[in-house]
Amino acid sequence: MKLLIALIFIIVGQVDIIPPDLQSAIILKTIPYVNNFKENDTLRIGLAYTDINETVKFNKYFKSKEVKGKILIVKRIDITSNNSIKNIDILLILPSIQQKHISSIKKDTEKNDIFSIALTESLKFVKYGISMGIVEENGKPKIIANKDGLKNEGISLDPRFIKLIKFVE
Amino acid sequence: MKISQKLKFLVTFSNIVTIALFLIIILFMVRNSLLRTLKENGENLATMVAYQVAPSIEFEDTAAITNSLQPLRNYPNITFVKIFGIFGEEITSLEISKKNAITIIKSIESNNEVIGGISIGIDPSPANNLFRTITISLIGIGFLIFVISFILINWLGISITRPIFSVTKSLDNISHGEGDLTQKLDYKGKDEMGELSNSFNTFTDGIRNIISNIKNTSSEVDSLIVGIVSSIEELSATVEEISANTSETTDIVKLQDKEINTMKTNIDLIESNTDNVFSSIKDAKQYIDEILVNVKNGTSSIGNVEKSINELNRILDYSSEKSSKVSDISEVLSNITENIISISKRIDLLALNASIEAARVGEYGGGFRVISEEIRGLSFKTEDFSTNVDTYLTEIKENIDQLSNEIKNSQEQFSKTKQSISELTNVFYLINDRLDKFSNNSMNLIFDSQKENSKIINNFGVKLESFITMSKKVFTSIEEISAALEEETASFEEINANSQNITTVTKKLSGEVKKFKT
Repeated sequence: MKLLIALIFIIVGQVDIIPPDLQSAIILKTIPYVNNFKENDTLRIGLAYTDINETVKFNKYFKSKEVKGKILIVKRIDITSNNSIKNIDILLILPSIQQKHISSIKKDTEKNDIFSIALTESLKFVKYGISMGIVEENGKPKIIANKDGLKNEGISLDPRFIKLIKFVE
Repeated sequence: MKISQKLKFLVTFSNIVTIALFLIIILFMVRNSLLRTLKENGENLATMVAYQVAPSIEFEDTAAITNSLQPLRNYPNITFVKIFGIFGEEITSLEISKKNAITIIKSIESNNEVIGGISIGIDPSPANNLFRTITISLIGIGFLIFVISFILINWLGISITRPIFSVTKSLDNISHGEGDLTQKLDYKGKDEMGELSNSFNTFTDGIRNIISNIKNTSSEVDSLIVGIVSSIEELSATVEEISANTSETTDIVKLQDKEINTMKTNIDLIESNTDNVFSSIKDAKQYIDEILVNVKNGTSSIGNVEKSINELNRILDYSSEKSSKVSDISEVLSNITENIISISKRIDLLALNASIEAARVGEYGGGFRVISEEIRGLSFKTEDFSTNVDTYLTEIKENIDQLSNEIKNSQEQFSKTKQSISELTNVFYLINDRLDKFSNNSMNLIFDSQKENSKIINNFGVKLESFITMSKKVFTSIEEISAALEEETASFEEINANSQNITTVTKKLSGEVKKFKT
């Protein structure tokens, strides 16, 4: 019986624990620690999706926000459109994105030096090569990053911020 | 495995699967409902706490935050509460128990800005216990449903299979009755098996009639087959005869084909020769044309020669005329010379007389005597000179006369030559005329005739080719006919054999049909 209950919980219980507003707040707080963006007046944030409805919520968290004097511009990016991802600084991977999309996303972000951040399946996607993600650890949010991902995307982080990060491979 | 057993197994299996699926779906729904309730409760509690601690976090009043968390100890099922900053740095925490928990995380906002977060651990064991109880109850209910349905299936199965068994048994009896079509199925139910029994009985009635008809027609077929066999034998003989004739025809056609091929070779040879003749005629015509051109040129040259002769003749006439004139002049000159000689002689005589007279005069006539002697000398010289001139003139006259005679002879020769040239010209004209006629009429006629012959030979060749093709086709057709006849013979033999087999089978069938009781 216990096994059945555990199995049912495992199958159905795979949900993102960190709420989107908290994830968005963490990302906004992260931006000042990215050396690449220190000179920028504006930051172009891309929301990678396959279901446009979910972009509404995330758009609200970033649109027209100002972070340390930098104006944020949000751009929606439909991954299924076959257009290459370019002309943005940060790419946020929304929950509708699946693992099969990651390889093409990585190719574009590495080619165009775009900072990729997973807002879903963070541990799996970061292990797969996405630069950064947020997971739950001991009941608290924890920023995880992939060194190779950061290097390939040409992202340089502030040493103070690096202390807060857990690197995964 | 019998159909009834298969049906029973199928229904039981589908029943188990249906009940299992039903149970799983219900359990999922229950589980989701419980989980949602737990999460909603946790989120509500977290929202409430977040609202309470937000000002304290803003002012970094950790003690106030810790105090705010204390009442949560009285809440059932809460295992821990943690307050953390944006990057997950812990501000404070409250651990109530160490049980496994579901974590609920909420953001803490102040002035519409996220300043941190709260996580609450909720013990899921009461929900799990409830879920376990519900699961056990559902499995019990499922088992009960299965038992009831199993009994119902068995009862239904028996009621379904009973008529099947009954009908099967009856059919088994009929099948062991060795063709007794008088037997009937005696199941009288109003279900599908009853309908099947009625249909089967009607069917056996029909079969009985058919078998009866077959019996009658079988003997008819037998006699017909005998007739067919004899007809086939006759046909086979005819076919053999045709086959023999075809073989003979084939040999003739082969011979004909050989002869035609020889003819074709000869025609090809004639065609080749004709082409050669044709080519030679062409060459001959070209040569004749060339001769014609040369004859014309010759005629033209002869004309020119004749003109030249005429011109020479005219010159000779002129020369003759002039020579006679020169002869006349020489005669005149000779007379003049004679006169001069006569005059000279008279001057000499006068000079002699003068000299005599001068001598008589004496010394006074000395001068005169000298003059008379000089004149007498001149007279002698003139006489000598005139004598010489006369001699030369005589010689000239003789030469001119000879020349005149020669010119006359030449003129005669020229006249003869002219006549010969005239005759030659006529001959050339005649040759030209004949060659022209030959070239334009006869050669063209030969040429056209040769062309026509060539065409005729070509046409004949084409016709012969066509004839050969047709002959080959005839040959092929005859071979095909021969093959077809062979096949036909084989078919007849096969039909004959089949007819005999049919006869045997018909006899056997007749014997079998007689076994049925109709």
